[in-house]
Amino acid sequence: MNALRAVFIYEWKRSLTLGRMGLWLAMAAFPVMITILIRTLGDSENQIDIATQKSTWSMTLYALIPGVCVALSVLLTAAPAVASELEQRSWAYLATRPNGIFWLLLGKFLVSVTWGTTAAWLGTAFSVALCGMDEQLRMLLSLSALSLLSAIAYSALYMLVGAIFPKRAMVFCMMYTVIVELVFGSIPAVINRMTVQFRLRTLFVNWMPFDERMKDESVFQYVMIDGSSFMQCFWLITLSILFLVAAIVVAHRKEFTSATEGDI
Amino acid sequence: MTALIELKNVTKDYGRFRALSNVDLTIRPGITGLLGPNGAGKSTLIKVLLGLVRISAGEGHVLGFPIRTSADQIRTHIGYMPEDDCYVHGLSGIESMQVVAQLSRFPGTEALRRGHEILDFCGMGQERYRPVETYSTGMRQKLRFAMAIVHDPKLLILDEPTSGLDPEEREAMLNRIRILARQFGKSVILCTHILPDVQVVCDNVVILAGGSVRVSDTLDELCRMPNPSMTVTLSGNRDAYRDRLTAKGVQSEVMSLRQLRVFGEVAVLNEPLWSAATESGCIVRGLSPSKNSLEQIFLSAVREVTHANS
Repeated sequence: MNALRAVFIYEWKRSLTLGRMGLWLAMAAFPVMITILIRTLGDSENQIDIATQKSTWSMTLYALIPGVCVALSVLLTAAPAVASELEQRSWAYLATRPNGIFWLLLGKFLVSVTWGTTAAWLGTAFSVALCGMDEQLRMLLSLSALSLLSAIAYSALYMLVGAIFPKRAMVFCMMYTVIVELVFGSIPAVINRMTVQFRLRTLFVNWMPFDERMKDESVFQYVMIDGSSFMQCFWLITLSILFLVAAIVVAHRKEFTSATEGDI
Repeated sequence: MTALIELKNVTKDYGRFRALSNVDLTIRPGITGLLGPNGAGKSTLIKVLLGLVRISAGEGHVLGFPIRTSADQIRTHIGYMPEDDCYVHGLSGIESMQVVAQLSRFPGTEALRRGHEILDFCGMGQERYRPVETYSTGMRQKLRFAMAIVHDPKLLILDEPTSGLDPEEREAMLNRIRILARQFGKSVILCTHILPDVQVVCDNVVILAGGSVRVSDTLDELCRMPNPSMTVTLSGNRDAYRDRLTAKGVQSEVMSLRQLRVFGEVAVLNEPLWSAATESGCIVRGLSPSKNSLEQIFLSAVREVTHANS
């Protein structure tokens, strides 16, 4: 745990740059800005019932916060976990410590979760307050929990992709997100159950204020599962552990070198 | 004496490129110079010892641990100073030390204390509190060295520890290496291109070329000439002195304007050397047993590979 704390502090201090903090603020501000835009430009004369309004806001905030805000935040911190050490040539120092790779990736994972979650929680607080719906506490708690789960799962996933493809980590992470999480995750087939999005979506429907009538529409039958929240959380955590373990194994087995290319 | 490192037929391939070819090597405790031209396989050998790359064939032990299965145990006892400038932006020198000490299982406060102690040993003053990116080359070199020894390893692998240092700093660095080896009983593998560094601190020398070990022996043994000879430093007429020696049946060769190498046992040479000096009016300024220079040994080992390849 001592080593984990050391890596966390080391990574945290390193990430406290103006650029990183600016990005963090931008991520937190993004859902708030969209909420303000919707409130300002929204058609107030077109009266729709409260249940539909709640569902619409729930879906919007779900897409904006645990979706875009968290995924982008952790993409910037988790994907380059291995690449940044290789580029900075500090890999050899850290990897040659006892269990160095394990603590390094675990520490970076925690930093990534912290960055992603805090940005999301800040965005959630303002967005929920500004959306003007009732059941704000429920929305706040649900979105916060979903953001935390999303940050854990996507951090682990992006660390794995970053360990496999350290040179183009962000590009591969984006490709994976679009192809697997968005496309496969939306396919009404068993394959979508292997995605993080599928589990998060089901939790979203279980937790957020959502119009019960919408659940009966055919499209929802395929892209969500009528399972308990506990099981969804269990699967999300299991997936995250698997991704993280795989990332550590890959980093252990890959022959990364810090020397300049061609140096043998 | 128990071997520190034992490699048997170790081969490492990177795809179709063979970086190490059937390396048989035994390294004993002490300071060992690892030499070789660029591309000889030195870096690969170090990575193999550290378990950063897996060997394609063969077997080996480092500090008694098998390299194929015990990389973590090996790393616990090895301190590695890479050649690359690998500091962490945003951290001060002492913070960097604390991080690596904690990663080496020292608790927080102990890690800090240990960091200060090692930086003191490395001659780093108040600059330890400055961000590492503001350090000069010499200070970075000191910090890398300090990070390598913070966990009190049994074996140190130092990759070009004196490159980029001014003469004073270089001497200080070599002194630290000597102190660690002689006073604290650490074993050191010194990987360098600077042959005089090897000559002044190393007990053993390994020369790699073309991915295989060309030379592995003690420095004394390597530098010993195949035929006994003496180097004579003169002032006066060198040629007249040489003629007198030839007349006395002593063979010699010119080394420089004021130096001759004379062949034979010291006991036999003693009389003719001094009488030739008297007879030719020369003054013998210096007399020492001739030795092979490390440069000659290195070049001949490398040339063998070049010839074999061509």
